[in-house]
Amino acid sequence: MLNELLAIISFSFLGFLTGIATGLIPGFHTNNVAIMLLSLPFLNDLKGAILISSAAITHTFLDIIPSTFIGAPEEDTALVILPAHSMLLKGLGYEAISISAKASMLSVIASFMLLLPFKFFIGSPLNFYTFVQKAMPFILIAISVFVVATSRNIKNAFLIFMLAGLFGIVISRLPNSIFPALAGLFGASTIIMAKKEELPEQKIDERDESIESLDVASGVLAGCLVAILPGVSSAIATTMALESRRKSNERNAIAILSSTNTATNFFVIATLFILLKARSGFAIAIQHFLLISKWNNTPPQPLLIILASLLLSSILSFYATKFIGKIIAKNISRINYSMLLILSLAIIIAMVTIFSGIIGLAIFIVATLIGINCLKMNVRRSNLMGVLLLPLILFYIHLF
Amino acid sequence: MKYVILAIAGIAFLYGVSQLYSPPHVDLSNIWKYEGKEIITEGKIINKIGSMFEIRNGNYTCYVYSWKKDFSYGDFVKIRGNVGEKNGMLVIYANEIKLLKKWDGETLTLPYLAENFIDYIDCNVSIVGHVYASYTDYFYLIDEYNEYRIKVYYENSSFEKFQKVVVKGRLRYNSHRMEFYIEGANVE
Repeated sequence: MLNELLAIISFSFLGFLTGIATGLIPGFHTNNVAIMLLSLPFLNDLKGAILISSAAITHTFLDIIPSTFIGAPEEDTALVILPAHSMLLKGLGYEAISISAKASMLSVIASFMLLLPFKFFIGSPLNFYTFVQKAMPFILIAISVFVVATSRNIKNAFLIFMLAGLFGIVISRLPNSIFPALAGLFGASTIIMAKKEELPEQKIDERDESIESLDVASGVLAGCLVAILPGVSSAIATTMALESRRKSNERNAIAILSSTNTATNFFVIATLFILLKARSGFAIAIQHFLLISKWNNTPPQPLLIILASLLLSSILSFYATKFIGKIIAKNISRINYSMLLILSLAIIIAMVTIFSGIIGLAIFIVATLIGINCLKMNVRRSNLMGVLLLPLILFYIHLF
Repeated sequence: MKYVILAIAGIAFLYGVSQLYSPPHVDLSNIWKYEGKEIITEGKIINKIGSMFEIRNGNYTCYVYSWKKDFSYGDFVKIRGNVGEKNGMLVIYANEIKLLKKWDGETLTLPYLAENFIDYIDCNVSIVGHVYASYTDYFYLIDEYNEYRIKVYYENSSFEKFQKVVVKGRLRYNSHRMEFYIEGANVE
């Protein structure tokens, strides 16, 4: 019994360390790690499932750091770059990290509280999954219309949305296209268009930042929705959550986006046991490690163990995010801002090339041009999510 | 405006690249890993219902949605399409279907069919054999050593005993009588 407990704690901690690596390295995702872990012979049961689940949750805490300090986005953090980077330029980079870590932690707690209602809603007895699946194209169309229609210049917003959407449709046929696309749309374009000013000294303030509960709630609800649907990523969830709250405050935006990101991964794991469907690469890996038994009346024991490891990893990740964020925040203003921008761009280009090759680089360049267009036309960044929304709408329409 | 034109030119270039790119070639056993993605796979058509048909490769089957209907049972096809979900099942929404091997591209012997019936059940087959006993709407087809026999439903069965024929039809199994038979036959 004690040996088992030690094994669970050890693999949770190993997963936590893995998640730190994947969270801090732009373009390196837990899904990539999951594929590598599948080939290891000693990870063939619950231990592998614990490791990858812990890594997935930790990743959602740590990925705010490269987004804030380097401006390198992933699918989950594409929309958070602008508010986080904006806070960095005001000397509040550490505050952005703190808010994100706290929002992610609150998201985990809220997700635990919503787990049973979630199970009843999408599984037995209500079985709303099919209804939600059928309603999804309409939800996505409604979000798209809302994003465009609520822009200051609707004509320009529509142009950017359709340009990004067309781009998304074209690149959906190409391999490893998401990371270079988002890196260009949200990352490189921000860096290139950034005003060349001095980076102020970052304030390290340990006072408790308040986070609105509605921000966390909207993020968790959006995360619930997308966790059950195929092809719908946390990037779509963040768009939905952000548009539903309509907040222009950077702090709110970061809180919403971070809680969405964490909740999505949490409910992807829950969905695996409720619907027996894997909605992410790491969930597919868990299926390989473990024989998944459906959650009917009582939660299966493996699920309870994985949830316990998620809680442990979340607590560790909360403190790790703040700790690492503090170290970087203390030292980043020593670097000349222009040099930091060049370095950031170089890192992003290197990551794109390593993970996506020459085709990825071509995608990245075109995406950067579209992102620059968006900034020059003064159109809200959410419109660039057309890159994911439009292909997804077409995919769901095709299904029905 | 300059950036808009450059972006459109870039998208056109990527479209050209995407036409040259081929999605991964996947076994039917692994299509579950590619939900929402485009793949290429192969299989033999074992069932057709409206705009949907079922393919099999080895022990795995999958449903395919396609508006193309000019395929027969037993045709071995290559499909390029997107993996999706419908009513809790994984299906492929075909963008492109290519015929790799027509079902009547090879003529089988009865012993071979008997040994490999799993690969041909519910498919069209072309078998060579000899007529053994002929009745009003069926006859028995045997191999040259009279070791294997199969019932062939065919109207106007007026053949000479031991006449060599090539039978083209669909291999089925009658679970009540526990026997294999050929239906919808065309005899040459």
